[in-house]
Amino acid sequence: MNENREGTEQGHTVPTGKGRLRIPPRRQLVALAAAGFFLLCACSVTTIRAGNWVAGILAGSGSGTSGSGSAEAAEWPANSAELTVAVSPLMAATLRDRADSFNSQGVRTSDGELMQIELVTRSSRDMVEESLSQPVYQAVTPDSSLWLWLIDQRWAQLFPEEGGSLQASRVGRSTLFAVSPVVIAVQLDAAQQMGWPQQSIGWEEVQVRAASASGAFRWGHPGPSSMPGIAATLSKFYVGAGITRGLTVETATLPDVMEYVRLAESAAYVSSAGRGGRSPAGGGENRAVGADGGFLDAFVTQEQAVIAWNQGSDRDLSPLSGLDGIGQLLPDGQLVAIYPREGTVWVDHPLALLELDGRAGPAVTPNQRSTYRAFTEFLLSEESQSALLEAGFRPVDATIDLMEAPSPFAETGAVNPLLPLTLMQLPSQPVLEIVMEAWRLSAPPANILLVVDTSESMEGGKLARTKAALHGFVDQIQGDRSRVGLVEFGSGVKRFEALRLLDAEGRKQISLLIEGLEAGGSTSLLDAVWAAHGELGDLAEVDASYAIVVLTDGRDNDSEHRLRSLQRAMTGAANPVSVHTVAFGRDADEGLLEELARMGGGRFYRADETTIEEVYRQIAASLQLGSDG
Amino acid sequence: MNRTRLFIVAVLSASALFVVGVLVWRTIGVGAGGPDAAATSPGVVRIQVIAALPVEQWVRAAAEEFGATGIGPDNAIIEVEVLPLDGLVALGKWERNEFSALKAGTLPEDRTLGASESLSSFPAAWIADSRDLVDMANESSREHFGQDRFLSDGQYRMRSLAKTLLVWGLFRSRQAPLLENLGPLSWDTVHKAAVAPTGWKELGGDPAWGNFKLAVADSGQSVSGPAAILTAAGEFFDRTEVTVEDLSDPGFGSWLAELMEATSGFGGGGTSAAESVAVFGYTAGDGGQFLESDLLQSMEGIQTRWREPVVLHYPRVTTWFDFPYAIWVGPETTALEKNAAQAFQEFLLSEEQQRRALEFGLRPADPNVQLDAVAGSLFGRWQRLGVHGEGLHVEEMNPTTRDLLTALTRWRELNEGR
Repeated sequence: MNENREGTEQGHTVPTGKGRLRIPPRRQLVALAAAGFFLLCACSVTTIRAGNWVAGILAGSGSGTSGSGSAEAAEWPANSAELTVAVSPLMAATLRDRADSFNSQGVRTSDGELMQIELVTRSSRDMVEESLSQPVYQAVTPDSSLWLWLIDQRWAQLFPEEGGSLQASRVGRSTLFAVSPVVIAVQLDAAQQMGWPQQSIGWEEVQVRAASASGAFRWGHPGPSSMPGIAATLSKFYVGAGITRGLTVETATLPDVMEYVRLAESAAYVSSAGRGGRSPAGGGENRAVGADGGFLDAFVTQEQAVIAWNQGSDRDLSPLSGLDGIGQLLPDGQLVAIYPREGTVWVDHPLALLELDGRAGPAVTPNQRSTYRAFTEFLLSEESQSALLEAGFRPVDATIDLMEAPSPFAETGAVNPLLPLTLMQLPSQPVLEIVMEAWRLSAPPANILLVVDTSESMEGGKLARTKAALHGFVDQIQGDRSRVGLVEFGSGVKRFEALRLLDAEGRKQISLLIEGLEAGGSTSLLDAVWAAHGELGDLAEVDASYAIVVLTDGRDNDSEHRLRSLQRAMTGAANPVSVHTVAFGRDADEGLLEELARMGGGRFYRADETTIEEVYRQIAASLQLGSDG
Repeated sequence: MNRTRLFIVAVLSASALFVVGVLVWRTIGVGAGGPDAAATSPGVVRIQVIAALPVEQWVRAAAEEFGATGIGPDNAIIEVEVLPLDGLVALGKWERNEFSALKAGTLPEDRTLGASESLSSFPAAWIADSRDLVDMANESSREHFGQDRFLSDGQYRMRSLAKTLLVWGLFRSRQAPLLENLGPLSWDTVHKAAVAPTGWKELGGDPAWGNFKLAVADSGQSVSGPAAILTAAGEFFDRTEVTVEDLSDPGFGSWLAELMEATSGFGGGGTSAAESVAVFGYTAGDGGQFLESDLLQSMEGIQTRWREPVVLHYPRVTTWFDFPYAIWVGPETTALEKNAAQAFQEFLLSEEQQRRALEFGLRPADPNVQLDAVAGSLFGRWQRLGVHGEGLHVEEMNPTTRDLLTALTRWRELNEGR
């Protein structure tokens, strides 16, 4: 081989069988070598990374896996040390303070990941629903351990085959860090008129006073998405049945008891998240709260709220009720805590790690477990326990004396840390379900239009699962006062079936309509929503709720109406219509559906053929609970 | 080989070397940066030990001391991570293989990378509440692996660490009226109190106390729950051996259902019945059956929060818990980890740690350590509340079996609401 030691431009040639091959000069050779080296390395690394990615997908850990039935995708890296906690409104502000303090410490895991706590606020009842699929959080702090128990009950019903000496649990170990009893917070003057503090006062006195014709006493409580709401509602069953324990399904459903509960519900202001409260109203008719501008004399809440109110640190109470401005309904005076004579329950704020096992999304990572442990230790530390006491909670470290200054319990007669003396017995699950649905006895009816995509792509299994989900949805809507209609769309609106009352006949008709759905055509999503909204938005029925539930598996490709015009129509409608959207499968236009749900003040859900029924069940439950906002 | 070919071969070799180097570096890097970083660092052995809840605090404190003692066997520094789990919960996890033990016939070297990572946190030992739980886990092991995974003899045999028992506890204000009206505490006494239609009004107490409330661990969430029910059955049938047929007896079933009607439903999820009484006071129970150690640990809190103590009474028949430390002998843990687990077992059985157990209300397994051996012994501190020290004579219930647990679960599903 010849070399041109001087040449830089000229190449060398070597003889070959086919002629002379140019030999590059030395520098070019080095450059070529470097480029080759680089290319080979890049190709190899890319191949390895791609291989890993494919392996990850095959192993089910790919990022392509998304949760279902949830408004947001649940994804986190395998080494994530960020723990997202769903917290109930009753504890949200205080836990935010604790989380900030924890985060500021910069604690790291053994592999150097920063431990962080993120909070999302959910009603306790929503936590139960969401925890059964793949939530965006790994831990929960509902207002009571009761909800954890319900999660596990439901989980066991979903996966009965996972046995053992103890049934598999969705909820891992839980830790209590602060508690507060449920009390009736009564305005001081009103309490004194009832004989406080000399006389013990019970649920019965409050309900009797509220039901009196004079209307001089008004009380309220949250809806059954929180423990105070359940306690207040349950008290009506106990008083109605004339017992203090042993409430059975038979007793709870006695006509006299149901009638008492209905009247008691009507005589109380009941608030629930996302829906206007219902004020006590004559003749059993509910009116929007504030229509008569009245104040409440009492509100069922946790003891901590009484302390916070009296300290002036929280005069809103909206987190406690789920309704903005509830604090304005109470007079600006001192409140006292009544520990009902018949017994009460506790909000015990358990912090529990969910055993997300990777079957529907990413599993809880070892680092997140470490963060959970570190955060629970932090919440049980002297610093946090003192901070919780200062906020008006009873810390679980019972060696902390509640009556020793500067405890907020020390110098106030408004609360009594040696109470309550007795317990309101929580009944069995079937009775509890009845109690939690009791609001329906006086709830306004719902008008719901089911907007269903039956374009060609829905052919086969998808349509079959959708029909099953729609049947389940209708079954879930209780009572005979609500109405449901059906809008089937493909290439335009294929069928518009007006609202039908859900009595026995109406249910039969709806069932037949669902069975009659047939796939074919393109996707005119916006035209269908437009038609449904036009129907509901102009209904003149007073004291009812209105909702549209939209499902599609594809993209709008055939509508005359545009999103902007639909938005204008929604804004100008006579009735507020909530819009809930379901993206069925991976090809659905999630962006458009999310935007529709946002515009309609509803929620966006993802579903596939295995989760579609559960998603519709969740929507039905949320529509009836009023947590549709 | 001409120069050009040599060059190409050199470039290819260098590339291959680089890629291999990157892979090796990543493997080492991931290992070093993973959650089990310490396990792969030379000289450090990290083990995970499941601890029953009643001994958690003692074991956790001991683990910290143990880590500070320096070099252990095999010239390694041992770090113990304590995983607190109720015995029933842990048993369920073993039975469902939630720790991902290898299938029979699988060798550690056959493991995939992911499986190896999951085994890095495999528990090296289990401190169960009682020996019968370990026996049940072994039954399950035999079904899955053809052999026991926790041994009762040999180098890695299980050894009891400490003891405690189920005792009665009653708020002092409730004690006088109840005992005066119904006689000495027993399940029969408690049953009579539970079914009193007007509650404390007819039991001679303050009517404001409401109904009699019974504190007892949730039988579905805590190992002491089923144990309490079995002692109740033992008293009902007046024998220490209860059978599945006994639990199916209609007379016993309705008696038990009435009794359970008085339970408050607190506890579970890591909170003992005694802790519940400390936090929730009378609403959790005017009295009840507790683990002695739990009650002694919670006593200060009970007195501070509710301004009165809970007084102890010892039942005629009861259940003991002996907290066996059982080392996993399967291939999922290395010899180093097994030895580390054994070293920690020895440490817990050392005289110093046995004495420390007294500060947590636990009766030492070492018969040479007296209950008043240290100044901080809770037995000495709460003696005035009825704590029995040495020479305690109570009859012991026979061990729980899987069939009994299953029967109890079935009964609970049929009868017990929340």
